[in-house]
Amino acid sequence: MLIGPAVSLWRFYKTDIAAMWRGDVDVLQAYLLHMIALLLWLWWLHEYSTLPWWVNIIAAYAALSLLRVRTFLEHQAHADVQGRTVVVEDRGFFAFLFLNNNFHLVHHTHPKAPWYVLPDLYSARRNDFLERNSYYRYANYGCVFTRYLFKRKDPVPHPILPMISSELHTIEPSGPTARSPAKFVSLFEHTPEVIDVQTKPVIAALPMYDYAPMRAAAQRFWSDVRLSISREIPEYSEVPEALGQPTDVWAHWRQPDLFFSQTCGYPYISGLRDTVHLIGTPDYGVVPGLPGWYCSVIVVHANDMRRKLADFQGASFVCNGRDSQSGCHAMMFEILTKLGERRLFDQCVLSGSHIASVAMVADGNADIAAIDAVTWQLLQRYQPAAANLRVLGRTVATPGLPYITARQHDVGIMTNAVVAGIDRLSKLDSATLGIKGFWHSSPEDYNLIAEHAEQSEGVLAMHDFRVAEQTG
Amino acid sequence: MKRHVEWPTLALTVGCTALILLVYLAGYKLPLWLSVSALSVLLTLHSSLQHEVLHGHPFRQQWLNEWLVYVPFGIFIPYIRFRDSHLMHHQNEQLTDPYDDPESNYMDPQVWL
Repeated sequence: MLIGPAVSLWRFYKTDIAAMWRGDVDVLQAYLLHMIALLLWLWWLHEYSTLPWWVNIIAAYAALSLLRVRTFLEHQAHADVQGRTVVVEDRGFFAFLFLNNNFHLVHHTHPKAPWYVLPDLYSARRNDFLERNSYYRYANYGCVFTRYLFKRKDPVPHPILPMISSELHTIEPSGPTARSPAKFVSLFEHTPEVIDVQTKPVIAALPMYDYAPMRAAAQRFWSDVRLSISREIPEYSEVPEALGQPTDVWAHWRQPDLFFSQTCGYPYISGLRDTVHLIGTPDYGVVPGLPGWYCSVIVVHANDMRRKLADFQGASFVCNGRDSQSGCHAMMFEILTKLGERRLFDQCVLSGSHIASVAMVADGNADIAAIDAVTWQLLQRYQPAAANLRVLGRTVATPGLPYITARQHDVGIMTNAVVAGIDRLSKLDSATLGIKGFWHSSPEDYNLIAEHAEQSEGVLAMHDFRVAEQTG
Repeated sequence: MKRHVEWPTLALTVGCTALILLVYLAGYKLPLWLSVSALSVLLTLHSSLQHEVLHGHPFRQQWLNEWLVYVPFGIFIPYIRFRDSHLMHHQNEQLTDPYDDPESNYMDPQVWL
């Protein structure tokens, strides 16, 4: 809040100076008029003000800081996903100070409406607005401050996403065809030797958000966690130093000596709950106000003019797998809640991975897909094909992808190590991995996913899935 | 759409400006920290008022509106630049936003279901 305004002012001036340099007369004129008005104002201050000369500067700067309370959120909103605009349902002091611009979505929908009607416009159609921005809301600025202060404590105000060298721009999906360990070793010199999956089962891996440019950061995170654990329990120093890339995630999750992994909520409740401990859930910050939760974005081709889910009657749907909460069950539940129990898609294709689903929609081989919101952020960063898609909507939020360990391990020690590891993530690594915090989730939290799946079972049964001929 | 003068906005603008000037004129009677805090809050409000003005409030005559808030109490940002870049922001956003049709869209809910 202290240096923020200085940074944005600097950027603002830099852009404008560049514009004037290019000969933009309007910008030049704006500054000249400003200088004249400013001189008059300073003259007035000089003549009549009873306060020290620097008061105006301090107050003006403080005002910019206060404004940042508001713009910080807006900015974050747009950084994540296109068209996401915040609503802060505050009616107090700050709402007055910002003249209700905290109802930012309402302002953008009705840019000409005066400030004092925005709250009424909002409450008249609250549900519509919230559906539109997928419940991107805060109850008041108190919540915002809690979050913002947390961000300061964890010194990651808003890191610029790591620049990935162009050769890494096309990423490989994690899977049998894509892995080429030799290449990673050469790309990241410090990556420890990659486990040979043919001979040793993988017992430590982060297979869910696993894209080549992220692996060095994931490895650093794991090395830190592993070190904390082996300090507590020396026998655990046997644990592999390198994160593996399992070919078969289900076999990996079911390893009796599974040490550390991340699974998806649906596999967790449908098959793993009895054999693994839940460590907790990393927070990727995709559902504001609900750390550790996530949802899916429903994506279609950018040129597709259809606007509502109902318009996709008879369309072809692609998902990564039937056991995926984000790719499959979230969509089935969405159909159930929005359109009732019915067969919406004539074709349902299983692609094997979110990245393959994105490619299929981008190439016109499928019409619509549901993509894990965290994956979607990563794909926008790493997968050029994502630029050919647009977001149609977001599904209901559910608990996100949890870290797990086999029953035989001490979950308390694991949890402490993971929490400390997340705390110690460097700015860059935390931005690369997208991890913003940790949620101490409990197994019961995941009942929600089971409930949703149970309710939408009928919808799922009405759709016939087939495996895509060619993946990716 | 026919719009009359928006009195709440006008009153607030006049009040805000008057208070800012008053703090400068009578600031010596207050503790310095209080003057600075009060001014910080007032200048924030003033910036919000500039935002109202650039969207065409409170009068129908835009030149009149702009005169109301033109004094650069906030020093750093030229009002015209604020106006132009902000209006651009609205436009850009609607261009990139998949659902946003300007203006009418929301009254006839073409929203995602």
